[in-house]
Amino acid sequence: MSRAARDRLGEAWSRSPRMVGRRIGDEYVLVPLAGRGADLDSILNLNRVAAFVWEQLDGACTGTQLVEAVLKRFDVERERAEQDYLELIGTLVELDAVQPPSKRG
Amino acid sequence: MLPSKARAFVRDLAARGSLPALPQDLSADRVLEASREQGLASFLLAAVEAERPAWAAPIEAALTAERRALLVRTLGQVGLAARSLELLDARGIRALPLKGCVLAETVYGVEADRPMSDVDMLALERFADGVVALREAGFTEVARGDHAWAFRDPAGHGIVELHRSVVSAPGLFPLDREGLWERRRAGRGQLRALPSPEDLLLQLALHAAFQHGLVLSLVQWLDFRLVLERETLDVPRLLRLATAARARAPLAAALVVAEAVVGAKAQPPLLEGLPRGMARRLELLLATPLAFVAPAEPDLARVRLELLAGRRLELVWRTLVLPETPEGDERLVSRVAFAFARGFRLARGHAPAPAAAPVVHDLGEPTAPAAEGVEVPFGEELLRDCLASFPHVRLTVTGRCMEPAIVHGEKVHLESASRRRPRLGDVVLARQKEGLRLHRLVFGPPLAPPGSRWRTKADRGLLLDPPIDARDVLASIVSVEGRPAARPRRALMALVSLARGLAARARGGVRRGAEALT
Repeated sequence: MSRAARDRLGEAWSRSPRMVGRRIGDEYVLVPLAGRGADLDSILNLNRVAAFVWEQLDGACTGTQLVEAVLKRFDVERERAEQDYLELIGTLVELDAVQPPSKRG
Repeated sequence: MLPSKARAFVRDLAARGSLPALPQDLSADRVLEASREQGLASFLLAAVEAERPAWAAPIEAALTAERRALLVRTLGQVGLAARSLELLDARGIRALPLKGCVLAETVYGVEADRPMSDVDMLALERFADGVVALREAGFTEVARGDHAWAFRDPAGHGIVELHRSVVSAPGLFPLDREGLWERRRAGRGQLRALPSPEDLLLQLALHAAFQHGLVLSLVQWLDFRLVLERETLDVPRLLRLATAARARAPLAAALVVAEAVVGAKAQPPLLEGLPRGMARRLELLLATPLAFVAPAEPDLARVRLELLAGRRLELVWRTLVLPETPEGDERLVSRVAFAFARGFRLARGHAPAPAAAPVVHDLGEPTAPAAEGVEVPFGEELLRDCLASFPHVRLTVTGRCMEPAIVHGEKVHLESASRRRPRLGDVVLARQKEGLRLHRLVFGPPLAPPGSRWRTKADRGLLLDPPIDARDVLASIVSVEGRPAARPRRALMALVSLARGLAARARGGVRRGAEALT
């Protein structure tokens, strides 16, 4: 794992108030609240693991802690869980869906 | 034309919370259509996902797409309400959200389950300052009613209505503004403060009974059931509030109907207080719950008179004497003078002249010119709500099929069919198979016998439109902006147009003209 990736796992991100997550039926979607209303292109679909992570992004839990929580809850390898977490955070940062992290040890 | 059994199916779904058996002669597409019309597409999808009936497989993808779109739209609308309320709060104006956006964040599982045409908020003080705050934030004023002004959101999330009272005729149901504020509760979503559950239910009842004459979409009736089931209601407090607001009759009427339509169960004391005339009327109609479901046409004047038994003079006074004249004059003498002039015009059957100030609900600019007719680029739900809430609705027409009577790009003023009965020769807003159209009524009252189907036709069109029921005509054009001399109603032209349509049909050999009227 690169140093940048290790650093990112040590960060505690929080959900942006301009993004709303809703479970509707079998899917979990993130909808941006800013901008114009009915922009279906800007909706993000999350799978079960990603939805779980999204709901834990409270600015207090670090990536490492969230990966641990994922390992407890889902049947997945650590390496895969870390990789998925980093990909998800990368996407959320791009979408401005999370707020800057506070660094933890 | 949507068959009533499709609406009946969706009503059963709303009342039971689970899917009824699909009648053999009802297609899934019709059920989908009815669920959209009644604001229950998301509700239908939840039931389909829970039960997975084979017949619903072909419409599941459409319902899923609809639910996503509804989620985006309603989240944007609730956000609009939140932003608008913050604007007022920043000026020290206390205000609370009303109806749909409150329900979307409380009794519905997800906002997509509670579609709404616009968002409403009630200014508890300094209404005029609230108007200024919205204007200065870039909101465009598009309508004025006696109880609310409507504004278009500069960010494009829709229309927000700033209310000075919950329903028309302000003062008829006195508002305890301090009490409303004291009883407010914290929101758990985008809205910071919400009305108490008791205030919410009372507001819904007033809106249903007085504003809409006890005819609502199914999702609006479902509101009552969900509030009764999911909110913790203090019934003695609700009764005290209803009594203080002189609203026991609207509360009882709305709850009695909600029980018949969607199985909303209210405690018996809440159902007391119906005036005798209203009780008799409901007794007759309750056996046919769809009589209370849009697009059924409400008998608004009669419902209001029956609800206000014993207070009818006050009803007339408060209906005619508005809180201010269209020019903004709040002096009693000016309001009374305006009321007399208005009453005189109404008594003579004249359409009120368009005023300089916007007294209508402007629904926007035209989209691209339509090839086949004057198109109405707005949802029926929004139009119905606006027609019920405002004296007139202003539309910018698109298309050239009604020229020269109505020219592409002109702004026209519409009056709802419940306020002004459509007559032969009117240019009417009618629900056709392909959507809402502004065409001329060429076979209708007084020519058409009661119960018969009506016909419309574009002035420049060759053929008659398919037959429609009276309830498919939502409104008539009463004036054309900028052309005070224009007479939208042309009875003779309608007869000529009808004859031409029949002749064209006869020439085409499709079927005989006389049959076309049946």
